[in-house]
Amino acid sequence: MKKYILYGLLLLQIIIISTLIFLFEQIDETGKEIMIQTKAFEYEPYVAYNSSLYVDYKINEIDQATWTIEDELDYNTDVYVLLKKDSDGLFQVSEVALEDIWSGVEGDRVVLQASYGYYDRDSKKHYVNYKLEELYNVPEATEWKQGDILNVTWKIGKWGQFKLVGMEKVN
Amino acid sequence: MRRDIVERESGKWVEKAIITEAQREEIIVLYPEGTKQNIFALFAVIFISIGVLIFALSDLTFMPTMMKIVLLLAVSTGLYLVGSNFYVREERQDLKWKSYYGISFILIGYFFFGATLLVIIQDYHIQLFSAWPFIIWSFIGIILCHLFENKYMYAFSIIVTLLSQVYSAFSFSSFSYLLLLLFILGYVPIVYQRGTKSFSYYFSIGLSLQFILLSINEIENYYWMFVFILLMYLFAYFITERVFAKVLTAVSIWTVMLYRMFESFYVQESYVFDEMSMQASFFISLAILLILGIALNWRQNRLAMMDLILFLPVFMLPFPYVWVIVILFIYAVYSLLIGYRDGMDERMKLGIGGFVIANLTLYTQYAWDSINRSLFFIIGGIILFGLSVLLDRVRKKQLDKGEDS
Repeated sequence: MKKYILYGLLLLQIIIISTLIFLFEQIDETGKEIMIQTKAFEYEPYVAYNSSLYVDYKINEIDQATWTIEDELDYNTDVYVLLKKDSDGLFQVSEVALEDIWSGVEGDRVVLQASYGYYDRDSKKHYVNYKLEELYNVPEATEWKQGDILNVTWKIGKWGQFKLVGMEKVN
Repeated sequence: MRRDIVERESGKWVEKAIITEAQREEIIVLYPEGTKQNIFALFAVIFISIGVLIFALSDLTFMPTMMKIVLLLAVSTGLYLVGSNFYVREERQDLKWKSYYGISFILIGYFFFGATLLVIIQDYHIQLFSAWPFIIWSFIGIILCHLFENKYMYAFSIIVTLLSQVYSAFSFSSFSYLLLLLFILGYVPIVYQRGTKSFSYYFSIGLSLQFILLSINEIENYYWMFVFILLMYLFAYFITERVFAKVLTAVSIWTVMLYRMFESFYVQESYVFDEMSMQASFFISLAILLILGIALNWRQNRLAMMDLILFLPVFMLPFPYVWVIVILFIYAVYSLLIGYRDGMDERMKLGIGGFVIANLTLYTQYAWDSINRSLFFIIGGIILFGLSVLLDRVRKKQLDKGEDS
């Protein structure tokens, strides 16, 4: 009997892994493409040994006027941010909520899950983290320097998957 | 008792003509030779498992994702099959020298499966907002525990589940109720079935750690821990498996004593009470559980009623840190007296533990700067020595009375 349960377990492992691969391979066909803009590099950008680079996006900062959540949030609280495409093709923050109240949005709108950071009383801005801040496969020999701004294009899949499509210097 | 101890001691009995050599041999036969274990194989598992995770996540980056996943999964499957063969053979042969090759291969296979999941998360750039890959990994571990009933399999699987909970708490600031449910539903039947001390300890310590995370990280009111641990303590009364019930009770009491120590420092910070919200649901739940505790102890073991003092919500009183120490001292002295009087080793251990914790708390709270450290421990020792002299006299009096009558 135990032998058959073991075979069942092996099969279950294969099914789990195959299902995950199948779901994540869909991103190229079903993923939604968004372009977001970074803030100007405060310092000389540093590409880490694993070809990754941390950037800050403009959508990381949300004005108090746009911030519609009344509760005071703890660090790392999950928030949902509705982004809307502007005339330049860049996605900007439109609304914020504690739950995904816009499920099924299509077209020029997209919902991202984020973690709450903190509120800066001086600038009256809330900081959130999308976990898109780490760019990967960044070529070591970029010509980016302090003050540069990038337009970063991501494909967003279901199940929390993100695929970096492109990075382009703006200024 | 271990066979080697019986062999050694019974030799002396034969010398003193208490038993004959033939009787000695008959007694020794009653104690089968214990199985010796090859723990090197298990250390090998730990090293290889760490190596597997590092290898898969950083050294295999040159390989295409799909090839990597197929390779890791194939190795995992192969190791399970080889391990299972060894395991069955070792079980059948009832070897005196347990090599644990079988369980070692299975454990390495289990880590290869975990590595496969992590490679998928890494290579497909999945942004995690919950610990779902770890829930899958833990679930597979529970099935393996049911298949291969071995304490090391159980320990490693519990560690994976606990680390998943810790990861969820620290990375996403959220407690995974699904992991807690998996933990209870998955492991309780195994502990029940096996009824060994090691299994019971792994489970009980794991459960109390999860309750700490739930209280501090999720509910954010540290005092809820008392309800959860009291629940764990009372749960032991409904368990028919004796070893498991005993261990669960002991771990509950140790946890609450250590938590009291943490509480005595925590409640001294002024911001704690500013941020703390008093929840009526806590007081209602605690009151119900305390009444249930009194009712159960009244019926089964009135001496254990004093355990409930450890769960009282003293944080509402003025100077709560003082009350915490008072409670610990009352509990420790009571347990020492009762344990000593009735010759109950477990209660004595709890009493000594409570005494040491209360002393350490008191010392670090009030005397760290003023009293010499060595003097403090000497005073503690003298108090214990005094207690033992006092109890010896009481016992002697009782024995004398018994002889007279």
